[in-house]
Amino acid sequence: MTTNTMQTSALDVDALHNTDLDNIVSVKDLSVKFEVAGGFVFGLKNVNVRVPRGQIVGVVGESGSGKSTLIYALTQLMADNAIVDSGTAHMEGEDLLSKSPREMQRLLGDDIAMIFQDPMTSLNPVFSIERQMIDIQYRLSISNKEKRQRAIDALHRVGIPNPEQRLTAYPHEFSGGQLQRVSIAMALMAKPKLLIADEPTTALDASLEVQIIELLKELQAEIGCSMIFVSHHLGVVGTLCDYTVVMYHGDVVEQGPTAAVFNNPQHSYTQRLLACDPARIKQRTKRLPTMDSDGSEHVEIPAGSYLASQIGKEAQLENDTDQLLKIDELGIRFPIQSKLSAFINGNKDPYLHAVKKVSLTLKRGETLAIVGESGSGKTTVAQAILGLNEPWCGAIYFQGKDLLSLSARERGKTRRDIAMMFQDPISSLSPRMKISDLITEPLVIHGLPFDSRNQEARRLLGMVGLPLDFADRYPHQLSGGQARRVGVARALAQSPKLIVADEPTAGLDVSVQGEILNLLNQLQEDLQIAILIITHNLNIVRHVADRTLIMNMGNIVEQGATESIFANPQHSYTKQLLAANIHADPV
Amino acid sequence: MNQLTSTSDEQSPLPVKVYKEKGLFSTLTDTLRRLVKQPLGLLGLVLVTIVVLSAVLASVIAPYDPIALDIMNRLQGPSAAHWLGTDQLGRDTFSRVLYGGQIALQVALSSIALALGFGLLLGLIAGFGPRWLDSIILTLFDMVRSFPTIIFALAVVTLTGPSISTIVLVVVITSIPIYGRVVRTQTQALAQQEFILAERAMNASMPRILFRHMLPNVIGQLLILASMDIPIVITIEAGLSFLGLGIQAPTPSWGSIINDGYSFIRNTPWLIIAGGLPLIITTLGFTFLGESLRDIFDPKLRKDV
Repeated sequence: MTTNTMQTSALDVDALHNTDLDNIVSVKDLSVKFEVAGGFVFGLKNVNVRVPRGQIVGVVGESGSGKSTLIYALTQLMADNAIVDSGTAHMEGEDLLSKSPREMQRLLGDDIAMIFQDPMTSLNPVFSIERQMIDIQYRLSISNKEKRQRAIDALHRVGIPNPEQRLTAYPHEFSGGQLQRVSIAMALMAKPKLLIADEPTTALDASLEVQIIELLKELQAEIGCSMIFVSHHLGVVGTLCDYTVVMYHGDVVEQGPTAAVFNNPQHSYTQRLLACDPARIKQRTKRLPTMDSDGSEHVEIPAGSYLASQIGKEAQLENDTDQLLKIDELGIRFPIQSKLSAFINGNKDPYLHAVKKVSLTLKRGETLAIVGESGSGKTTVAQAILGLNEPWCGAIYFQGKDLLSLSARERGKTRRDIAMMFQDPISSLSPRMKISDLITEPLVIHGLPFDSRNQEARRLLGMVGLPLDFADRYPHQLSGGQARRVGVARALAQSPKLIVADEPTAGLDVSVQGEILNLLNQLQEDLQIAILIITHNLNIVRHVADRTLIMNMGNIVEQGATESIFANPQHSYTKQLLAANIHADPV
Repeated sequence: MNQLTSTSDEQSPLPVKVYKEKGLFSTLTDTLRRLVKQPLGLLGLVLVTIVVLSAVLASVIAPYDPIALDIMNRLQGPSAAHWLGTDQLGRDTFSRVLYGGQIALQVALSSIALALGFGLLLGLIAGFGPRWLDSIILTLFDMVRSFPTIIFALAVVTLTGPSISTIVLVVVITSIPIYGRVVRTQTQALAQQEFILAERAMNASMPRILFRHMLPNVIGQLLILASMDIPIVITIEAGLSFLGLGIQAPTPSWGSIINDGYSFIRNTPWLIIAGGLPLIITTLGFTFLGESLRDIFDPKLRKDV
């Protein structure tokens, strides 16, 4: 495999080298290692990358593949324990690696600009946009008034409405998409020669993602700069980039023109990576292929566990109530003004109506997806089922019982049959507890029988495919995918009848997404669990959901069988959403 | 500690066993084992042990009666007879420091432990409970803090008379708001985090959320705060004793030794050094201990996993 890797990258480098392209950045044999307790970890191994002038180079890879290390090495923003082992990185003939911090400072901002993943955290929350946009022009010897005008022009250019008024606003007063536009405006104000974008659309909804990508493409052509675009999203890279670099474990395994890489991948890793992308799998399937398998392997429910003791019982009990969950005209609102000040101001409705008259039903063993963009109220509905907020009208029936009319105590008991998987896999695990305690906690809380906490934990870990010694680890020692598996184990420990999964694939690499979804699917079949998936990822919904429900602004705009919604969307919003969904093929 | 005896599910094919979470004793020995592995933790433990032992065994170690006068040999420097010299009435300073440790530890440890406990409880309730309860608790905190400590102590002494327990009471009441506020702010931040939502979604009881999930995440900062508070409490004790509101005259305390040293600093520097040294050792010991304990309780900072 290593020899294969070497050959492929060597071939591609030669190919690139022979074409008479003018390269703005050329990285040669770059190796970076990290000093850790007890030795070194390799971040980059003999990486050769060239960025042709005026072109967009996409760097794809899964987490840990070294794609971020590469761009941080170019900008000297690496962590303190990073050591450049060998190799060079040149930009227009200048050696980037040997520059002093002072020289690098001059280069960054003028010649190299960066856009980061999360605009919410990459802008300073206590200064207005005006202050921040004027501050970054400190090198220009023009008056503040001119700087202000330039800022307004830049905001206008990236499509912020009313830039004169919006300029004085603070970061929290913008939406995520607008903030990313502001960061792009700031990055491009100095007209840099090289723009480095590190996962700039990952934190955004699909329709915003498309807009940002179009904006980047437009501005790049206008300014004529080159761009390095780092992403784990194959579809985005396929749509935007001229060249694609595929990285794996610190190696560049394949690089070349995007169309060639996507349509005719040479390296086996690229082939498998593309095969894993649910967006590229045309035929609807409940078993998604992963890096190591075609997804058909079977998950064993461990003998002796509480879960195993529940398998037979489910079917007998549940024939009487076919409808597991029924939500009737549910409305949830949050106060945005105190009652007194609303009365004084004559505001008759001082509430934010997050969910307006939502009705849905869910059968046993069925998968229902609620799809919507952020702010559509989809997570609020999920939290209402779990009693995490108080609806003001409507009803939630679970196994025929109206949850909202039950006493808090009775309501708590229904949680024995409902489990939730939260959006962020790591921060939804209590940080001071061991994994073994975390995944068996539902059993302890609900007073369910099991023989020993450690043994039960090991059985559950085995079921979700984690090594048994993870029982003694803490949440911060896990990767996103591993933490997600722990989340699945915790949700399943009590053998629930309904799992509410909030963005179960958020932040995961495509192959890991497949693994998690396959795991859920297979256990769903064996245990007849109903799953409510809340997501904005249409590509996975198409494969795993039996029925789909589209939400927008607190309303359900369309619902029906997944296939018919994808094949024949009725509502204009659904059509818009489907159109915004980026397909993984280069244009 | 937390026992689970489930018999509700009679259909269960599993043998129903009593499940016990990790016992207090094994947690203690585990913590101790980790503590002595850290150089700072070991040093802290040694210093604290020295201070505690010398206070407890004062009557055995002390070469003189701490209140026996010897006017002829007043204000002497260190010598073979008097290791830390004598004070203005010729009393042996070393013996007074040893006995003074009893008072200091009694006052400091009991009042800080009580203030920490109450502050923790009130802070957790204020941070996680309903808004109205939070307002009430915060108003109480602000009311207490609005009294200057000395004036407050005068009022309490008027009601109860001067004694060690008066000092403890004053210190506890004035320190609760400090701990309480720190805990409340931390709890409020934690309450918004997803893992607390996850616990609520699992129907975890309020005590379980507060004591198993919130408490371990706030206790680290409190330990540091508490160990830094020890010298402050000892100086409060000294101040109150100086005003005649605390420990009465012949009973030795570190505070009174420092006060005497301050009055006679022109005659000899030894008195103030002898009173200050144990204070420094105690503070350092508890601070090292506190920091190491924080690192041990936080799995992210633990190095030996």
